[in-house]
Amino acid sequence: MPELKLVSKNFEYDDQPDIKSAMSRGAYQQWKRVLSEKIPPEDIIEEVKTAKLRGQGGAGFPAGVKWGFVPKDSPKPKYLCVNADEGEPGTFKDRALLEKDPHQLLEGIAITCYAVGIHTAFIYMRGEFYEPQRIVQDAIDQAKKEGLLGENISGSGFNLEVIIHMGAGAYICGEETALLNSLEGGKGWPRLKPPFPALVGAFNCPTVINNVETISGVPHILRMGGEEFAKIGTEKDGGTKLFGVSGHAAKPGLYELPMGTSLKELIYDHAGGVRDGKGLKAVIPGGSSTPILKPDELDIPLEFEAMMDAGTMLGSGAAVVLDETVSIPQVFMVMSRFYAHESCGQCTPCREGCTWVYKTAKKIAEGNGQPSDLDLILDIAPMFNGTTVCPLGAALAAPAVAMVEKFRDEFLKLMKN
Amino acid sequence: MRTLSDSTRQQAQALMEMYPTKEAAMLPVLHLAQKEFGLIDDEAEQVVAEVMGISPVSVRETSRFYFMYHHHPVGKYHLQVCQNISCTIMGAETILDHIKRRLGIEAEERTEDGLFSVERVECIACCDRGPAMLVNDKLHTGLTPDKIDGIIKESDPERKLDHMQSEGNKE
Amino acid sequence: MPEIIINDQQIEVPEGTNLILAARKLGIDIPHFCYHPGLSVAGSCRMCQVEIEQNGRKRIDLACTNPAQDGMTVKTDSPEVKGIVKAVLEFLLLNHPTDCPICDDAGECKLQDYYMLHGLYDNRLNVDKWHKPKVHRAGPNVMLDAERCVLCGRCVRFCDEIWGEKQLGIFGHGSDEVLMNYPGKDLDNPYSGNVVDLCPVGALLDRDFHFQRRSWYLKSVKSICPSCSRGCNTYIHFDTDHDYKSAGKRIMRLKPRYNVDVNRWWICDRGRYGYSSIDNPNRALTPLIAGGETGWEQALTKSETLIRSSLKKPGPDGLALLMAPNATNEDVYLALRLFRDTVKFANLGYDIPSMEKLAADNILLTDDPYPNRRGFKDLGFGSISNTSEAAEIIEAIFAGQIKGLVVCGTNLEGMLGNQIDNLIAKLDWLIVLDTHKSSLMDKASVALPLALPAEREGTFTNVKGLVQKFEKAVEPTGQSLPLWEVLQRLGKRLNAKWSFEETHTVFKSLAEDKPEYDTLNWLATFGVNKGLYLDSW
Ligand SMILES: Cc1cc2nc3c(=O)[nH]c(=O)nc-3n(C[C@H](O)[C@H](O)[C@H](O)COP(=O)(O)O)c2cc1C
Ligand code: SF4
Ligand code: SF4
Ligand code: FES
Ligand code: FES
Repeated sequence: MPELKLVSKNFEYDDQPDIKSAMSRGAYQQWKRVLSEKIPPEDIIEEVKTAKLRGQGGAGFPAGVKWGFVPKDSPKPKYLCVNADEGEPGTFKDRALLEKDPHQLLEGIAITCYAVGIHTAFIYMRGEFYEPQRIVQDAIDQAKKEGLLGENISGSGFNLEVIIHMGAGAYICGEETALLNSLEGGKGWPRLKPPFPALVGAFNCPTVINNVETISGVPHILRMGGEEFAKIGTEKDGGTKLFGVSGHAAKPGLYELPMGTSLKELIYDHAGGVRDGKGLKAVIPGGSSTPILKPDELDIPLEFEAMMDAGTMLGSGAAVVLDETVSIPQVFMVMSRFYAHESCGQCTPCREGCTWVYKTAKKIAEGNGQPSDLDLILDIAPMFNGTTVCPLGAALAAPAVAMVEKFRDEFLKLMKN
Repeated sequence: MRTLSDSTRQQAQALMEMYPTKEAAMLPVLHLAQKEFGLIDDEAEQVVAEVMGISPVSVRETSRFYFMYHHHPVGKYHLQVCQNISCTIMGAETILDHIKRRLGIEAEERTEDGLFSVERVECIACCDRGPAMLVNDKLHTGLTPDKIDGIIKESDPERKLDHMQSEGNKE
Repeated sequence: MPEIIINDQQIEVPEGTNLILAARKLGIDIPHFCYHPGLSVAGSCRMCQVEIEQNGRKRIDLACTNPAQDGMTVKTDSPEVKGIVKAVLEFLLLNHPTDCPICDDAGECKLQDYYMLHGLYDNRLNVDKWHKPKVHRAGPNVMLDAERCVLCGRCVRFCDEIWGEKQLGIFGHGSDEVLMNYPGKDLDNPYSGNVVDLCPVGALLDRDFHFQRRSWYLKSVKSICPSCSRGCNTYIHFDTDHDYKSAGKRIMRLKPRYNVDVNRWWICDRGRYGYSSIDNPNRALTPLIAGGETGWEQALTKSETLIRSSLKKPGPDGLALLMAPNATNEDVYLALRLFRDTVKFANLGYDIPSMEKLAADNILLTDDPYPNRRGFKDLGFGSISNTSEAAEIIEAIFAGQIKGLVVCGTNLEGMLGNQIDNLIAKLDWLIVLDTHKSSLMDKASVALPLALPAEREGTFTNVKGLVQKFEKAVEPTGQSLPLWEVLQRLGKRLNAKWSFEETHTVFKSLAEDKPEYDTLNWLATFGVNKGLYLDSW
């Protein structure tokens, strides 16, 4: 399928962060329309449901359905938290959305808040996003000046404050409830669910949490209508997605494609296949949490369910291309080091299990491993998959098992006996 | 005991009032304190606790959880080299080795003159342009040994690079 | 009330009861580290996993976070559950120093117990263990071995939620986490010792118990803390069979005993560490006459003579009893039968203005350092004619109106300072009964050594009016005797018509017309048990 640019439509224009330029390309038109036509909030939620917009942060939960869980008549304030913590290794789409089209995000935030009845939105941005912070803060200031955010927007009586909250370096804060604790000033330890954030979230108030890309898609749904948007994708996954390709691809970068495009197409047709004419060893399809695929396993539609059926996940849609020179045990060591480093430390199985796997992986990568180490990994990984508060443990367990199972020979070759 | 400047205190105060709870200002206030003190050590934690009117234990739980708060001094130029998968397979280890050789320090160390320090960090979300690193708040991508030399030279024009051999350059 | 099935046994529990509590009612222990009924639910150790079948669907989930819901079927021993429990244990033990031979907690450690019950795997350690601070002084009473810590967070939540101030934290991230007090700031809240009980392993330990005894040598009885008027329920842990390290030390430690109406799971440090006064070289060991050691016969004869000599002159109006409200109800009862009803002293005072008002809080500690003021009041301590206050009695002595004085456990010296000699000079005689040596005892005409609560049985009535019994742990030191026994013997000499053989019968008699006292079932005796910490969760 050819590229179909919605959220990345204006990435090519360097002046897009400037509100005048952005508005000349249609920014804030839907937001103004919502206010001038006084579109009922419920209708917007319905439209987003119809659009089958799924969460783009990794889990793929339908956005409209999530918004619908928020109580309408809550006496407490409600909050929106935009998840801009982008930390899943291999993923770089949210940085682009923040840097290249901040007004699209702000328009999405405004419409979302209007639909759910929210007057304060936090953008939780990972602490290392210095440049995105400057750009988005500048965009907020401009939009306020234009009367598109702030008090009594365009005379509608609707108020909306948008606050950037910078993290401080911790992957786990991308997990939505860890994000809430971090927003509240604490350690980023994920919370037990239930209660779900839609009922008890930030500051104990009902809270919507959505990924940057999810929110950035909202103006397009209003522009096109939910039905048209849904038609672009597959039966369950509406619209497009920004797929990232990194590693040994000939043309690494972002490609916005309709949901359901095949992974093979993404790698070969769009990203130009493997660079320097080398052979392909494997692809990590959707960020490092997703189980690795061998070259003959790539003919899968990029949609949430189909990827699961294929034993992997769509994740954040960030594919890493590994050419034939790559050492899988080395990648395995780097990957497990990441999860061992980033486990928040709350749950025993994740804290201890990820570290154990990493130390074992390191031993193997350094040539000191034994075949029994592989069996140990296969044996303990399931014990921190699904037994913990959040899925970080699972995010190592599943790809670890896949790597060891699919590349056992390569691991064994590194061992002495 | 150190104290925070009046303007930082005012900023901290404004942050505490902006959020629904004052505790929520913890991360930004720690960022401010780090900017002023250069690090968050025990004393800085206590200053923040005092300014925010919360327990030092809470401050420490937060400050020790997040990797961006430094508890030891870092260099004027703090090199944060990505070591995750995409960058690694694009040569991040070579880049790191080159930096270490050029500066004569190991990862998580600081040069004697206090100018440079190196830290390994996880993915910084520009994987298509790896190897990548942040120098303080500035992103550098597509790193090569030559680019590294340029960055070091630009930061410290006096620094002699040629007396230290770099394996990376030969590659 | 929801009805559920756990391991094929049916049980009905109140709404909101979690599965750990529900299972416990059936005698099934679901292994757990972070859950404690007195603290908020953390759900972080992941040890308490069970299989839950509900609405036809099976899942593995936590027992601590799941309230029993009608129709649930729970299995704690399915192969899958067993596998996870074993794995969590293996994860925890992976980096554990396993220094049990030198760990004070050995014998009462959850890691040890669970390993024997649910672990028993072959060691698969293929990498190095971490290292963390050991033998760290966390505060005046508590020491920490961070390597043994399983990061359950109970101690942290105790400080946050019960004491109300953060004093401990889990600092760091992931496997670098270390439980610690803030550097340079002690874990010094007045309830700090509770974290030792809460700690499921040997990470937090009593400094005063360090290397004192192996836990399995300890014996225990049920007791009541005498350190304030709350009357917290305790266990006294003692050992008289192994005499190493601290010669003469019999009482090794106190532990809180769960009582939902009084102290729940907690006691304060004042009470917990106050036992050191029991095996203290300053205990009064023998009766004294004019400061010289003697035997009970002589001392009691002397006392009898003194009292008899005064009954005519100055007569009952010139005689007084001052008693501190740390005596038991049985002591009070016999004191009244003797001094009020038999020899008819006109001045009986107990309402000693407290020397040290304690810093009361709204947790347990009251401001009254005496355990039985309420019992004195309930039993109507006082003379028939006078409404004598202790302060008035003392004034009357100085005024020369009172010539004979019996003092029981009252810190008169502390109260009067250097006036004490002037007071004694006004008296014809002074009889002092007390547990610890004092210059007042030396100066008294007769001094009689008393046993402490740990050395006898009895009852105290707490500040809320609850009558609570404590049991005897060890024999009275030296020749000391329980106060009621002294009163009984003295009464016999002074022609009292009553006679009691046992504490029990004294209590029965005093409770006869007191319905609120009659509720106590004296015979529900606990006796001497193993000293392992039984209330541990
Ligand atoms: C360990 C972990 C890390 C995560 N990191 C991110 C992240 O960086 N950005 C993000 O949008 N979602 C992340 N998520 C997913 C969020 O928990 C959440 O599902 C998402 O923000 C919801 O938004 P969406 O429905 O729009 O995708 C992470 C989840 C886990 C378990
Ligand atoms: S699974 Fe891991 S990262 Fe998630 S809450 Fe538990 S310890 Fe933290
Ligand atoms: S010290 Fe004990 S109670 Fe505290 S977290 Fe560690 S194991 Fe738990
Ligand atoms: S892996 Fe280096 S930036 Fe993502
Ligand atoms: S998770 Fe249930 S007891 Fe720890």
